[in-house]
Amino acid sequence: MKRQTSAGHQNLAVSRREFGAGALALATVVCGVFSSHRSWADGPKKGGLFKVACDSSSAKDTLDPAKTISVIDLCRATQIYNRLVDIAPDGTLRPALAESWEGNAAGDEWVVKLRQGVSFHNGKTLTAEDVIYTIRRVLDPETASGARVLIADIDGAALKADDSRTLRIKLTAPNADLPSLLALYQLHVVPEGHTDFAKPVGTGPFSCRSFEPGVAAVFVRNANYWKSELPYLDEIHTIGIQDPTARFNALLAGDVHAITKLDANLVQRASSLTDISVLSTPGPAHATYPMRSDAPPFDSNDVRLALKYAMDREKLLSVAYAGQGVVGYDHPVASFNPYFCPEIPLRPYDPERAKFHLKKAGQEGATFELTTSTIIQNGVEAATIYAEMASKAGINIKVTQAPADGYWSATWMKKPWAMSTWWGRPTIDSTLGVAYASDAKWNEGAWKNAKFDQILKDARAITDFDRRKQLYWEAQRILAEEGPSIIPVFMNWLDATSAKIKGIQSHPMGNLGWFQWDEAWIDS
Amino acid sequence: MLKLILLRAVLGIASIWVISLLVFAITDILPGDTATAILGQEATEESRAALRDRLGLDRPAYIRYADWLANMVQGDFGVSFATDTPVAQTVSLRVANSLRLAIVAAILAVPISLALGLLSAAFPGSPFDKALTVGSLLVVSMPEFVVGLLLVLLLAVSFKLLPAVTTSLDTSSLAGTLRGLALPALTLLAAVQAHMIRMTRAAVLDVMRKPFIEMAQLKGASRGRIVLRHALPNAVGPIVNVVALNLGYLVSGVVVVEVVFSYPGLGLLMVQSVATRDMPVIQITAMIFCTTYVLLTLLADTLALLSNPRLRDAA
Repeated sequence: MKRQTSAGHQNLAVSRREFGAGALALATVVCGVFSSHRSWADGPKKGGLFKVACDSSSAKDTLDPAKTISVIDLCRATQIYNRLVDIAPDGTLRPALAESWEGNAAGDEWVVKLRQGVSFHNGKTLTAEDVIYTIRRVLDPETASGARVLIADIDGAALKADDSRTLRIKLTAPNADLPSLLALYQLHVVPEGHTDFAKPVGTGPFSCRSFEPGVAAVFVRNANYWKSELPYLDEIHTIGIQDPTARFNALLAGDVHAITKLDANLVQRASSLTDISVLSTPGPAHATYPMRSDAPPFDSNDVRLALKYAMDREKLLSVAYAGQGVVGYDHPVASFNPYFCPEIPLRPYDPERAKFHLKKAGQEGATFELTTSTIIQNGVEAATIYAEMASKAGINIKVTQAPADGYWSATWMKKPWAMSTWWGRPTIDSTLGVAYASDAKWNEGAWKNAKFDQILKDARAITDFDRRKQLYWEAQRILAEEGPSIIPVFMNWLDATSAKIKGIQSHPMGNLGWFQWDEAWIDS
Repeated sequence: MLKLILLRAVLGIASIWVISLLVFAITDILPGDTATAILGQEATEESRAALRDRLGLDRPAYIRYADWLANMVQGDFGVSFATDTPVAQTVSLRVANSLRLAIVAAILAVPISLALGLLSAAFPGSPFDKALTVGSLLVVSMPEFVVGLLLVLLLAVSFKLLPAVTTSLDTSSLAGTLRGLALPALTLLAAVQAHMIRMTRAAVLDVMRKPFIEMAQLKGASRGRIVLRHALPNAVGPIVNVVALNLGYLVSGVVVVEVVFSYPGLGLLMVQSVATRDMPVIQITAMIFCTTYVLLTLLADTLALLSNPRLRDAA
């Protein structure tokens, strides 16, 4: 997933969350209720209208897959289009428009075989030329796609159709993650030559009937969908409701059947209602506390370790996030990731060790300023609670709140210690590299480690899973011990649906089953 | 008289000009980089620079202001940064929606408030008068979003009579339109009623203390006749004034209400545009709100002048 810079949308959401923070602290921890989403007793029923409210919508909404940036864009694109490769709810790759893929030993040339008999909404048959057009559009700087840098290794000019169903991809550098990159949502396949994305054409389960940016989009069943018998639903309406309370009310009133981003302090209430199902799904999203390691005081790893030991992760999770998440190990790899290293112990909350490291660094009695903002989900609460924990270790943390507006350009990476949020990256290489490689553009901790860089470089050219895993485990160990950031919690995706909605499987990559609704149905 | 109205009009135009300066200055100093907001955090520095260049963001502020003002006066509202479509097109749809809401709210609010105010004035000190005073002040002292949410909880969530949000207005039928507008309009009614009720009551009671009312009473006229025929026409000045002021509020104060109900009007557009740093849209929506407010205030002043001989003669 991309970092959401359109997160300014969330401003209004926050004042009310702050208001509820006190009550939140007292609330018991409620686990996600994976209610009857998989009860298939009578089998799925066909037909019906499914109405969904995402958490933001603006005049900037787009159906151009290359430019997908917001949650609602992704929700809509997922209905209209398919990618070559899908990510299954268990996190593994599975074929979509590609039937199979294979790389050479060096990992720099790949052959993708397309599925037969797939047609676009306009009747055109899918060919390798459509895929080439799609990839070249994303690579074209004119398109200004957020995914361009992610697939920059693909040699656009050398893309070649061996025949109408066989695509040959040459890379300028080895990349064992290519299949994962083909699952990027900016690479939703569009027909060759298509440019008018107000009238989108895809191969997906639904076609777009109407679209008004900032207001609504309506999708209707694609009767010729390549997964036979699917989808079950006849129609999907998508709208945006920015205010979290209004969104929840719309669900309660029956105006919509599902909402994204349920407020954490509404989880308890929602779980107590029999006609509402709460989806609380572990995901890759996490807040970071990056310390600029290129200048004092954070250039001392002892200072960083002291601050890491001063964090009570379990408590932070239960208090600031209402228990809706998973504890973190100071590296960005989530525990469901196949490359996650289970051998790193959870860092305990240890005021004595924190004191020890602080003393070693000669920083006893120093005050550290931590900048946060309402744009960081639960960031203000988390920072405040953390400062309280640290004070028990004799560490003074001064929490400063910066404006949500313009936080990413004016505060983040400018202040010595400013919180940030990451929504997860499509590959293990970019998960570790995006903010921690020495030359990374978003090296938010200004951290440089030659050994870490070398591991990333080596692993890119290795296609053997076990050998790669060893390297990435080592990278995670380095980050946990020497890294610039405290990463105490991974946040769950929180959504809610009417209990009548079935067939939406929790998905680690995003809200509401990552919007993969071809098997969703309504139990009336 | 005419001179006085003209003076007001000139002052009004001057205020609008000052507002335009403020709007431009404030949107210009909003934190954050427009190019980053449009292209996203992950855009490269080159593409951001190219976009800034294309949008003319590198020119000095006073030149951009002069350009902007000149274009706006000629009816050219520019092109949206976010969508690359003409601003006028987006805004006109939203203005129509906000106007629909304001009109429905006005049709509800004005007669109800005037009637209640008159009733209150006809029976001053009665239990009805006291209850109305307490009730209307209680409602108006709650912020709109609280009133809106209470109405939603009651009418949408508990009784499921009306939709909790109105994300798109079904204009194909009158019933659909009214259903969608009911809750936002009721919320606006709650926000403006107290001022109008209190002012109507005060203005009518003020006249009721005049000797000619006593004369009418002595002649045996009924209470209703005294209030409607003798007192009301003489109290119309301040009442019209306060009605016009509140109409201004209905148009410009809808931002909160539109957000609470996700209603696709000008207010919601403004909030969405702030999030995407869409300067041309923010600027024009701010100008529309302020200009409407200034015009309706001007109208209120003029009506007050016309209906009050003392003010008129002062000219």
